[in-house]
Amino acid sequence: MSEARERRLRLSERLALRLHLGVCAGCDNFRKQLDFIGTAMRRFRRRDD
Amino acid sequence: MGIPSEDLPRMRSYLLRYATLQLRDPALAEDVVQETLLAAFNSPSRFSGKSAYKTWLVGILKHKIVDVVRKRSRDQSLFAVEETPESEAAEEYFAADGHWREFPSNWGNPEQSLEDKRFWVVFERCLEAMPVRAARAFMMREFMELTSDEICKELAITSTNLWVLLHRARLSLRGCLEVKWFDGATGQK
Repeated sequence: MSEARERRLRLSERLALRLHLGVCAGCDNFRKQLDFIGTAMRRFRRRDD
Repeated sequence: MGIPSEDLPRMRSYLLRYATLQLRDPALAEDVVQETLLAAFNSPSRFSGKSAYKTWLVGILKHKIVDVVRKRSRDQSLFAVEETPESEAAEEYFAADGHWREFPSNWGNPEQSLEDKRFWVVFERCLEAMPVRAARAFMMREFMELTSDEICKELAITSTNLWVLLHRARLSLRGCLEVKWFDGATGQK
């Protein structure tokens, strides 16, 4: 998932990831947490602007 | 007009914290902050408000930090190369059977925390707590918004190395926030 933020995943990789996220609640939480961290960093950047 | 002398220590320590977070090198951070204050002192400012002045100072500092980061790829001594194999990082977070060692909890609606001043104190501490190499790469990416190519060039690493560093940084940050703010098992505060 971290790699997906750096480069476009191949279709097979995206599918595998999708399937896994469907069954792994931990990974699904992880994905949302990574998204939140991205949001928080964007906010953090702007705090001094 | 410049900054009233009684505000200077606090401003300086703020700028220092800002620079250290990104550079992870106290001496270098000192230098850029000094240069910033000097540049500010030498140019007349027409700001009436303290916060506008602060924003302006931070702007100068931001540029100096990026300049330093771009220049220092030539200075090897500033970047001690610690070999942290990718497999090691993975072992920290996953057990032998492939499952999470510590199950990521549900943070509920974490965006609410962004409005809480206390959250930002914890957030900054978690940023400071990241492993140094990973933190540098992470700040270059997420804060200075340098491109992957630029970061790889400055740090003399491959894109795979970079991905591993960013991954470690995110894992560290995520873990820290979960424990220090979102309270792990008990869910959102």
